[in-house]
Amino acid sequence: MVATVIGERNTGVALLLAREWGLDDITSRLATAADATYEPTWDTDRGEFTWGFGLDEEHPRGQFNAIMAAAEAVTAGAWAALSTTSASNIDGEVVGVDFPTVAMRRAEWVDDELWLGTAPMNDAAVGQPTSWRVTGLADPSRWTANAFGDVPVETRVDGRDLVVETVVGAHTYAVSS
Amino acid sequence: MGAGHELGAPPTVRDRGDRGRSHRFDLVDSSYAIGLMARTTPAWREVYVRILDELIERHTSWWSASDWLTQFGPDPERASYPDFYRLLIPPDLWGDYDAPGWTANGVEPWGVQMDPIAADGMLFYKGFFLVLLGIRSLVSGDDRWNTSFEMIRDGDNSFTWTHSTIAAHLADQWRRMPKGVHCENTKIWPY
Repeated sequence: MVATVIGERNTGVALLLAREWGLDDITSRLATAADATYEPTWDTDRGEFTWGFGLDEEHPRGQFNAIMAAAEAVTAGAWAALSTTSASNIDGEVVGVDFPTVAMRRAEWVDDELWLGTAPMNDAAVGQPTSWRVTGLADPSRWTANAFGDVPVETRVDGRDLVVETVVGAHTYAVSS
Repeated sequence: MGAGHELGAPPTVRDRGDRGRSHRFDLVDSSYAIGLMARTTPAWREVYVRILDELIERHTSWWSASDWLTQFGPDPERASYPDFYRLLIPPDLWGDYDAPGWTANGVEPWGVQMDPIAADGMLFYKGFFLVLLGIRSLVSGDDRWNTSFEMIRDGDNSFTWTHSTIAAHLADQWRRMPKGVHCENTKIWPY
């Protein structure tokens, strides 16, 4: 069947619900049509992804992009889970990230380790010094951070926080005790 | 006109023909992706909470209700609506009926009500604001917006609310009007 869009907002809502409900075929067709029609655009300097929708506007149209962004972010069951589960109380949480120079693509606890994945805003930022804190650890002096690959990383304790000092890039870290 | 009028003229019904433009829905719709993205990094929430706070802060301003605060009585442009509104307006009332997008503050039976939340109508304003506040609450886990904050902030037209008092007010409105709360005055949408 030929893929087609069904209007800027309706396409976004349909794509969101198709992904939410795990309707892979509809998801694929809508995503293909949106990619072909709505001008998906990376601003590699600002690290921003938006849709132009053929409107030729300096600032991408807010509501249309908002819905498409939700459609990009959702995974099966995630929308329902957002409305039925509260934010969990997290003992260790990352704060003080130099966003948007650095963004966290992953930040979750797995088997008593805090797994972090970073993304740089752009190529020019890669390699610059950066740091963030892990707050809420019972005894931060017992914790350290290790990076995967040849990535400099050091930790120190400042007050009740573990400070992680490293460099900007697409890196993976494990914070463990 | 309240603070922030340098942003330009408030929207008219005719602006509805230029789809996807609304100060208010730019804010609310943006929260959906923020909520979803925040859940993908449960141990990094601060940036998402900051963005949601900024969206909420803007939603407390005069501009969030610029339609309600400028569109009084029947729409004076009723007689010159674009043809596409014929799909939504009963044929025998064409030219004598407000199109979607005209909030009609002040029409019977309500009279002028400057607080868009306390108003008997304006369901979509307070309902979607509660969605925005709710997503922020679900992401952050704290209760920042349950302390009193000022809305509209235009001299005498300043109104004090909290997340919970807005929700309680809307729940009470539904109890009093089981058929539904007017979205734009005199209109209840099957949405």
